[in-house]
Amino acid sequence: MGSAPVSDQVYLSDSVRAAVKILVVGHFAVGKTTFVGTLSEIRPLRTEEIMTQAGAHVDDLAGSPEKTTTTVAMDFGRITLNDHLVLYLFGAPGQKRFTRLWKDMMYGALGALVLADTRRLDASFDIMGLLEEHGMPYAVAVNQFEGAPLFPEEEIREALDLLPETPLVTCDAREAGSSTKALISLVEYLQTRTPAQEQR
Amino acid sequence: MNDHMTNELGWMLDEVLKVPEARHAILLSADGMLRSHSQGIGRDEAERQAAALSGLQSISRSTAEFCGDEHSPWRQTLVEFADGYVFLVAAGAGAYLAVSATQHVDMETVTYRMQKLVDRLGKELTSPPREDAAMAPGASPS
Repeated sequence: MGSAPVSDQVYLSDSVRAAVKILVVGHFAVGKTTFVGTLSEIRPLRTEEIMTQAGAHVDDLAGSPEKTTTTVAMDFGRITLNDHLVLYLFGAPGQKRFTRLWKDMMYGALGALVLADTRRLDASFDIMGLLEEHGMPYAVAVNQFEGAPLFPEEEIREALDLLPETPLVTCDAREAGSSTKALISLVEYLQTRTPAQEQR
Repeated sequence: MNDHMTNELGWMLDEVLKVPEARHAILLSADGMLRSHSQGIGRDEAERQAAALSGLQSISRSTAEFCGDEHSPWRQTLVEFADGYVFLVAAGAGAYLAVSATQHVDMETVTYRMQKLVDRLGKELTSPPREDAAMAPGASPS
């Protein structure tokens, strides 16, 4: 065979036995690109473009006026959770006009992490609806922006109309610890739903 | 061990790089996971490119209607840079083959070699859909 993978700085352990594709989704400007960038152990793939005036009417920047770029295709990153499990994170664009790409991106994914913003919880309904439509299990992580209102978990659950078993956690997408925990809550949830599911 | 955790097909990809001016080759599954890569590209970079190429394929396919018929099967995407090209073709059901090359490459030779490789490997190159997953995106192996 003779073609041992040429390794960059980051070493992917031989003990890794399962590679799992996970979607990172959420509405426009919720922090998906930041989340994937924070967690990826390799240089993440980003497809950001400067936002133009043409999108001003449809892409609501309420709450993030300093935002100047938006993802037009996808984010991608890799995180090794433990010796046996590596997650491949695929971030999908938040705007509705990219729904088609979104559907393709679901192919092969085991689950999704829905990022939410307490200032615009209603904007998450379309995202969760699309996932449910395709039978894609998900967990919800509130990306706690500075200055965004803090609500008790129960109120957020109610506002998002979550099923009792759907995990709900809070994270800061700029910070690895809480973001990793958000992913772990999703993975644990997937394991309870599909015990010992075969990877491909 | 999963297929894409190894690089068993890598040597076959190296074959296609015998075309003068070809740079790298990547085999990926329709869900954007790396299946195999040629020797000259690192694994991390190959994984990132595999994800990007799956997005490229998806977006390419969504332009079918612009070309005439929404349901026309996608066959190839060609990307041109100032100093080179990226070729992306279907490689059986649920798999794609991508090759990069310098601007001096003979484009016809590359695409011919890529098709030959796809033909020769046949079943070995396909990623059958997971039984528990949604339908594969409409990649037509044509």
